[in-house]
Amino acid sequence: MKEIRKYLLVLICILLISENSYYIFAADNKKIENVIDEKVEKPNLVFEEQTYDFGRIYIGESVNHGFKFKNIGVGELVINNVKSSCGCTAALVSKNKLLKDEEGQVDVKFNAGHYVGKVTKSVIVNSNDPENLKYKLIITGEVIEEVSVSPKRINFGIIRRGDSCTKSIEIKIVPELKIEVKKVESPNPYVTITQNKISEENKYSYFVTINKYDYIGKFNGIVFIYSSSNKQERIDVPFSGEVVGDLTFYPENLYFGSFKKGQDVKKTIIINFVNKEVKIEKIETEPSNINYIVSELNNTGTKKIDVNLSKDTTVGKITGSLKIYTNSVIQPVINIPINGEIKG
Amino acid sequence: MKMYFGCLIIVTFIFISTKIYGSATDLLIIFSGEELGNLEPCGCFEGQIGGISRRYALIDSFRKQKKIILPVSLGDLTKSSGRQEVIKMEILCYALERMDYILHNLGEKDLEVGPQLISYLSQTNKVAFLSSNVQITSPFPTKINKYVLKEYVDSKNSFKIAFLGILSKSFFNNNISDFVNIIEPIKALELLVKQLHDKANLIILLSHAPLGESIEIAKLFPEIGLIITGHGIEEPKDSITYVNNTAIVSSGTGGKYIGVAEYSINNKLAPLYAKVFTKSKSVEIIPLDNKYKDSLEMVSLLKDYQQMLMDEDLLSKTPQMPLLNGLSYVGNLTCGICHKLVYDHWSKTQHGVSYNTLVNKGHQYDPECIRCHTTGYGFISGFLNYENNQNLINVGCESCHGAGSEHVKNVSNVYGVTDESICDMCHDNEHSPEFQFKGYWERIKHPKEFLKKLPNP
Repeated sequence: MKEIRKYLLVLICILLISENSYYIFAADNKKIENVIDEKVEKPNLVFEEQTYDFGRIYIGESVNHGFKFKNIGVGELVINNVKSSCGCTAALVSKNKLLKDEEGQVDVKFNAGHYVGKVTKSVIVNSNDPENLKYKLIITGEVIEEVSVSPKRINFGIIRRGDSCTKSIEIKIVPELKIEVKKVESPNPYVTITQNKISEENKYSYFVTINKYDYIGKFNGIVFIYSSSNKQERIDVPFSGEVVGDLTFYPENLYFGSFKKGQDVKKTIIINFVNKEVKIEKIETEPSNINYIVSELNNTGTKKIDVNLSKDTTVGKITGSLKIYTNSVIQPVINIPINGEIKG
Repeated sequence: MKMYFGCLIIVTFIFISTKIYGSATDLLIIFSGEELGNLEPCGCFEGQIGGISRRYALIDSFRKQKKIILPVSLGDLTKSSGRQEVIKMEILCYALERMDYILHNLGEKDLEVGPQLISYLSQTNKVAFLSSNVQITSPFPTKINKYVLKEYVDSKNSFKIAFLGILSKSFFNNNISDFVNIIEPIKALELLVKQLHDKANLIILLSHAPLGESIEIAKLFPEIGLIITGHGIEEPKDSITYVNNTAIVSSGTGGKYIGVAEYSINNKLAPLYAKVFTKSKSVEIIPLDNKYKDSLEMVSLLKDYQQMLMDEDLLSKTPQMPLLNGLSYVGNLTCGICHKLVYDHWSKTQHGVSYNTLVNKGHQYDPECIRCHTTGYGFISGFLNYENNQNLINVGCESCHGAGSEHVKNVSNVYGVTDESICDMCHDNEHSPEFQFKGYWERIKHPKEFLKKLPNP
């Protein structure tokens, strides 16, 4: 019994030692590293500032700032490279190897372009300073507009054929700049724009209406806002929407892409019935080696058409169509082009 | 005898320790997000990172290690609305499907492609659409999962992982307001976390929200083991944050990085340590650099994408804006009539052959690329397509100096004054990070020319 206890004790000791041995060895290694560190002459990269706030700038303007640094260490400082995050550029304008007490500079340029809003951009300075291998510089600020329009894009959403839809846009001017809104217009003949007379000071409001658009399908266009601002002479507000008839379908084109002969490739068309009286009467495919199966999607009334190609279809380009005939007066036939390529 | 006892103890010890610790299963949660329409590095400069071809190769390498992999997508596959974005959304969803992604959390940009496409993809794509707090109110039937629960059973272990997904209310905008209803994320999570806490061994949240909001969620719901988040985080490696035991991680923007959270899962620990048997081993953010070879399957999909752009003639369908002051583009050859020396010099520079670089890449039908490789694209009288506008291919004179119609009519008019800010329109950090005006100007600097004085009309 004593023997067993002895063995058990030895075993537990081995386990404990093995658990702690990593830490013991790690600690020893650290001690060795420290000894070596003390002997090596290390560089030390110090920036005058880590963050620069450029405050507020107007859209289209750019900001330049120089981050000054110094090597206060004993060893030679080597700047390997300077990397910036998207939307700003950074460059080392001094030499990349600096001895003790030598100074350098990293220039950062932020170009607002069309960006509006709060900005935080970072620049990473990669060097051989063991304490700061990747030094992060930050520039912050805000880009504002002389003339700001809300929304930036008008979404008319889904409109039934024959209906109208109105959305409003608001234009705000920076008061001290005394900018005028000269004109708001759209070349689209279905769009009318009227000013909302109850506008506040430095704030204009307009109603944009799409009237009885004849075509079924997606539409888009642009509302132009002309102002006396030098930076924003014209502001373009794109608009989009979709006019639906008795039914909608997706996709409008069926792409099989390129695939190998014999490969089973299936594509799906989904048809939604806006007018519940409308039914599919017939489907035709061209060429005839395009197969299809119609099913209902989870008892929603929505139809799903799975389309594939016969396995004996010859190598080469696929060009065809799927025609859906319905009892709708306004959408009696829907033509969906089919494209693809079979490789040998 | 002693020997016998010794061996017996060792064997018993091994048996007991196996019983207690079991044998672990390694599980990788692979996460990506905010691709913002970046299907592949555009090729403008060497060293670009990202792209679905490299991503496929990376995921495939994990698959070959026979580990359990769960790829998930945070949201914002595209960046706005419009036909090109719709095509990209379709392509990216197919790519996710082929990479065996289990789910895609909806971001506000995904919703901007419109209710019809969301409906279509939710019904036809194998990747489950996830959102715990977004309700779609469009007439198109849409399948959005409030949570996704995955159960894994193998010879060693069985475990369940619950995925939740939210979209921050701060991203709610006019473009989605017509068909989307967003519930306050915390309210939506309260109920679901409570419900899933007993069902799942690990809860993972895909938080399409600013980092600050995700940190607050982590504080409120310690039951969540991992939060995949971020919006506009450009340096995902630096953004890994911990709130108590919850890791908050991001894969950055532009599809440049892939995040991998590794877990060791061991059922046998469960009776001893209650719920704590999914052990987080590490979180790694991997840049998709050229270390990863392009996968042929994705390369083929990208070719299909370019083919679709060509077949639909998307170049010609992009709206053309009128130029201010009634100006119009005249084309490089017209400029060359008087400025022969400059024209000859220009035609030998990179600007003079920039269209060909697109042709070589097969991207000459891509409206996003063509803007900076031709003259005046997007404006009335500017480049629209090769067939009609061969005089406007390449970065021509008018790209930098402005439309020249008035100058042609009256050469003494002040025309052509430009500055380096015009370069930034194309030489931005995303496409030309090494750009420095001085060095680059030297490459295109025009020779001095002595023009004959023309009599004023």
